Amino acid sequence: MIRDITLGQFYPGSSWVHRLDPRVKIMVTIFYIVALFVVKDFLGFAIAAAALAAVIIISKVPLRFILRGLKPVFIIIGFTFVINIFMLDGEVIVSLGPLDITREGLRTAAFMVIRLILLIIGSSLLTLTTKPMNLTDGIESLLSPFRKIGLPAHELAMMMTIALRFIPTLLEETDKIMKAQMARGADFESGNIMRRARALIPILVPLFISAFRIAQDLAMAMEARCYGSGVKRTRMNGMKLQRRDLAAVLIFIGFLALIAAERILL
Amino acid sequence: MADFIRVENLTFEYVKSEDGTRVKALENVSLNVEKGSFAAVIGQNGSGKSTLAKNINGLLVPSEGKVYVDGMDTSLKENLWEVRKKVAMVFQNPDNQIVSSVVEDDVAFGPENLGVEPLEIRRRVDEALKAVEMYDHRKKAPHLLSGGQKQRVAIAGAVAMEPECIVFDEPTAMLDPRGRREVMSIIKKLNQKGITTVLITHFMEEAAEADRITVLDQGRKKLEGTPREIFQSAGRLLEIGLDVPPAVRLSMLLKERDIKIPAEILTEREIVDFLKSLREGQCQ
Repeated sequence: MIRDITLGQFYPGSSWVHRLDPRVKIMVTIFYIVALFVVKDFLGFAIAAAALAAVIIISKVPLRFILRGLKPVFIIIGFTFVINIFMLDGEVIVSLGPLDITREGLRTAAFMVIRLILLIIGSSLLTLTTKPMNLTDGIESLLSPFRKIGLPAHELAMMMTIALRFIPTLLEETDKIMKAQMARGADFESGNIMRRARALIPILVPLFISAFRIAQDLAMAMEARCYGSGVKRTRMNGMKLQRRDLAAVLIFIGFLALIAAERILL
Repeated sequence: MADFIRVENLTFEYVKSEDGTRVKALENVSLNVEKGSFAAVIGQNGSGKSTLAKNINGLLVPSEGKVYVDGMDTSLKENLWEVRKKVAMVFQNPDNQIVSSVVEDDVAFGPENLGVEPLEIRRRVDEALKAVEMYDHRKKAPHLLSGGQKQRVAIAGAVAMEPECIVFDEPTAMLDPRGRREVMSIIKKLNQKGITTVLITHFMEEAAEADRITVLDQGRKKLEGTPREIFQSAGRLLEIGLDVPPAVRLSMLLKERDIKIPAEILTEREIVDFLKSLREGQCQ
């Protein structure tokens, strides 16, 4: 049961978006988020939403799949909306006892919600169309210029790679420990929150111990395979920018220009 | 033939973390492995056999004595990576030695660490995966494979470094019988291709495949020789707590009943043939 959990939320495919260089996708996503905060009116959001819709269509990731992953976030968005409605002063539209809904409040709240939805869908599209491993490689490559100021780019990427690799292993371990404790009468399902939290201790302690043991084994195995020898590492699948990456960057610059023009001219 | 690995009077001590006492995991062990040969080291848990394995590629360094790999002293820092390049290692737990979430990326890890050219890495990875018959699974996630398959991926990771020797540290201990058979047949195949093989195990039937067996008990070398020589002292193996192959066991029991049985009988085939000849002899 616990093994079936999907990792990250990668949606396998071979669309144009899937095949883009991860570095391009990461940078585009970052600048898209920045653009969302530049936009100040409905037309701007319409442009941003249309651009996102186009990417979703090209990526062939079903909208249902995208939204399903967002369900828990919608609660937070709703909460933000309600708070924003009541918090701003201005022209009162509706009065609910001590609380006033103002025109400004409604406008800000609506923008905030649209912004958050676009932001979350936009960034989840990155993880939906990029394999976790490629994402890690992309981050490593983008961070490597900062190595000069002492940022351990490769080590960070290695840690992410290993974390991703060992999630299923540790889940399996958790499953095993839980079953072992249940076989000896442990009860994880009844009682209030405090009781249930306390019931987790006999799982967490052995899990930590086994995580350390695994780390020790892995470190030894990595050393045996000459990791850390000081030789400059090479990569089997080096990333190379293709023509489609250039095209994507150009299209995206066009989008940024459009957003900027809309903000300045209208 | 030249000796590829020379272990000379190796003693390895470690400090017990509980009370700070020094414990000798290995005491005065000597061992030579010829280039291209297949050596097995067998012993009970706690016999020091894993410690011996880790001393061969510099993961541990002798407290006393020397270990030479292809003439290089493993205790010298400047030899360390050259030694590990020549002697690859496969560990007991297949899960805890796979680094990447994609099979072929994991196999590429070793050559990447050695700074091999990307195209050459590709060739080595494909070749290594084919050698362990895992090429069709190259894009899969390791956690979806069976234990035997995972261990074969780990072996491919060692093979891709193109070492001259591979030390297998109880590679089958955590596998089911089928996984064990798969892994053993790969190990034999690799040895036939010329890779010097050191197999650490506690399964006698696996050790029986080797050219030479070294028996360790409580950190000391107890016996050494070809499988035939070792099994002739089956009594001592049983004393140490090791099993002997069923055929050897049977011939031992027959000998106790004063049935004259040739000493070199080792396999089931041989004992069946011998018993048949015995019956024919009686009929006449």
